[in-house]
Amino acid sequence: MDLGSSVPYVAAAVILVVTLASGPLAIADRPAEQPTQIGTGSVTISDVRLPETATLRQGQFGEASYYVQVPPATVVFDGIEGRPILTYKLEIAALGYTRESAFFLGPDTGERMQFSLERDELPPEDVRNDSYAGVLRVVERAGEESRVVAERNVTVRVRR
Amino acid sequence: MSTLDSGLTARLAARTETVRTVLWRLLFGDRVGLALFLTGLCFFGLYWRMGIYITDGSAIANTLVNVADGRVVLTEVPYGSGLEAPGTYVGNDGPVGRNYGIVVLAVPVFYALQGLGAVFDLGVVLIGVWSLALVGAVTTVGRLVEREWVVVGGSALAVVAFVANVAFATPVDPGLYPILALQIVGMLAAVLSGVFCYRLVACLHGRRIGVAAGTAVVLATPVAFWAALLKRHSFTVLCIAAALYALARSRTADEHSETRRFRALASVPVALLAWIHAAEALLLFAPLVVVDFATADRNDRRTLAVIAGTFALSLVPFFLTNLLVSGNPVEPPRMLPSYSASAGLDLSGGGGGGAVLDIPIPIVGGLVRIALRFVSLLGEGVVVAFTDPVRLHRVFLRGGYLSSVAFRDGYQAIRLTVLESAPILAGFAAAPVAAGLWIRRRGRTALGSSLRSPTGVVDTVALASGLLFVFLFLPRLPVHAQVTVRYLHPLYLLGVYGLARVPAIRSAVTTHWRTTGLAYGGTVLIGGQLVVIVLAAIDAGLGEAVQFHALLALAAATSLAAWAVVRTLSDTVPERAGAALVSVTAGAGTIFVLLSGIEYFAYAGEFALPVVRWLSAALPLA
Repeated sequence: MDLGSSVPYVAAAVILVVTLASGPLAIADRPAEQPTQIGTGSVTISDVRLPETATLRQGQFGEASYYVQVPPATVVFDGIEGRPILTYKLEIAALGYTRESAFFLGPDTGERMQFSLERDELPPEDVRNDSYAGVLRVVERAGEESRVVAERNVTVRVRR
Repeated sequence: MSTLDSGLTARLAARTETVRTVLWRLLFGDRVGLALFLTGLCFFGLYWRMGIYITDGSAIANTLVNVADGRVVLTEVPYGSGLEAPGTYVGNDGPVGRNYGIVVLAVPVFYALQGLGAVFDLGVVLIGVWSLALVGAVTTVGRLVEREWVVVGGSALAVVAFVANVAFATPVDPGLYPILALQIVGMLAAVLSGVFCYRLVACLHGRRIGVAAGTAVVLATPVAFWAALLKRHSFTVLCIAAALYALARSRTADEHSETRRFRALASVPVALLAWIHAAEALLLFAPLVVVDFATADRNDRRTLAVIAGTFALSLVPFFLTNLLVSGNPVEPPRMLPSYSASAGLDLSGGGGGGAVLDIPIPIVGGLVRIALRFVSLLGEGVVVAFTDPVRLHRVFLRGGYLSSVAFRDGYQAIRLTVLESAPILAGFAAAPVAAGLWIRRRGRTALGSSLRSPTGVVDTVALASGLLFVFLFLPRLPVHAQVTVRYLHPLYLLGVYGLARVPAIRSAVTTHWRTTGLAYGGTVLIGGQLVVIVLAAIDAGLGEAVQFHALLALAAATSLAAWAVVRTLSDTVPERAGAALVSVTAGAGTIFVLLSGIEYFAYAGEFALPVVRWLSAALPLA
């Protein structure tokens, strides 16, 4: 029982001492500012691989909405200058639907990058067909201007 | 000099001792209460996300920022859409917030966070406090069950967890401090709800079932889900639990003076609830007053004076706040017109009361107006409850996808029903059966005296108050941004209390204590992992995951309900099975709370424990 009665105090003391010593660390912890502004610079791309299909999958277990699921695209870079932005975008014209994700490039970006679109939901009332025509694009954005880097017509299959 | 010193030290020590004893007796009651308190806080800490989960939180945080500066009017509004945030009203001297009772409680915590944050790394301090709570929890629990390995192993685990978390700690933005303060008082309220549930049930039926009930509230119901999410509901539940506990003590007391004291004390949480949400306080006040006076042994003049005096005194903060906010002591913030045109849900009767500000209403007229409005709302609820079975089904049993609700929840079926959120309540299905059998066996005449017994008195208030909550909110349900039907939050406490009152359940849990514990642990540890594996395998989305939990909960709930009803009718079904089923339903509730906090709704903010941040990113779920 001796051990049992002293262990909690030792544990508490260790925790307290480290907590109280954290003051000076707090100052050293501040994140450094990013020097270059994002969204400036340029990128040269050697290859973009876009998927052939995307899916509208209806939820299970009582979830009736459709999940918009797009496989990732792979982009291979030749060179990156500054901190440009690329976006990966799906458009389904018949549904009036677009969704895009932005990817911030910089000196740390590797030779290639996988672009993914986060899952999204569409209400069940909107999805009537068995498939829709969609367009996938990778777009470079620099300031106000944008340039389509790659584009592909895809079939968006509906899975119920 | 030294004699003076020692005299002062002695008196200070005595004073501290008294404060400690009073706090101890007021909050925890005994070491079991303390163990539950610390365990619950550690549990909530596991999925504590530092941030605002639903927009309603912004108005409360804005209110705190201003109250901490010493004013009720909102001049500084850093959170959400500022003055447009739902929960902002047009007060006497400018825009005002709501839930001032919670805000005032959070002010000292906010100051403390500011002080600590100025000197230390607040992220590390929070981790330190959590780890200390864990040391405290394992030590208290270990000594209660007389297992040294729990104390030693748990303390070691706490140190390891502390070091691992500190290694990844990141600085906390001071802009989060008001939110953290509100989250901390919210978690305290949630965990104390469980402690009071334990004390209430223990006072009527003994410690063992009391521990089970208190633990169930803290670990297995939506009380845990909303603990740190900046809503008032935990406080509502706490006030109800405390009032019921005081009421129970007043009926189990030996001496008349003690009865009187506890009857008076029961009115304190009602008054404090009024300060937080006046309408909800009325739902507790009405049954409590009626039943208390109707069943008391003595309602002599002195008793009445003490009760009325205590209640009036406890209402002072409520009156003062209203006076400052609206200029009328009986007009709480929620009865004021909403500041934003696109107001959310409130009980002001739709913000059309612009005239309220121009004509100062006499207090009596104001009270009459409130009473009439209130009765008409309740009447509407009664009508809906008896004429709209579809709505009842969607609120209490099976939810699923409802376009009208889902379109404001991002087209996701993230709305559970009462039973889907807390499947353990299914055992309550046996309550009417048990009551029917009891009346048949003992006759109607015995019913009268039974209603005056301690359990009868608490049962009546609990049942009436629960029904009133249903009637008030049912016409507005189902609605978005609820997840667990949070408007009916008190049902989770009252339901667990009711469960502990069902003889079959009580007997199963107390007799098969080890089975209950083992089955609960097994469900959470093994079942939780199975759920993760299944959901990861099918690549489930958020709505799918939530509905998967709903179906699991319903399956477990159906089994428990069936067992409880059959066992109440005949002794042929094994009691141990019931103990296991109670644990499985409780475990299903816990798994949802944990996974929803760590995974599904992780976006509510950065985790207070960095290791959980890593876990959340590592789990392959929605």
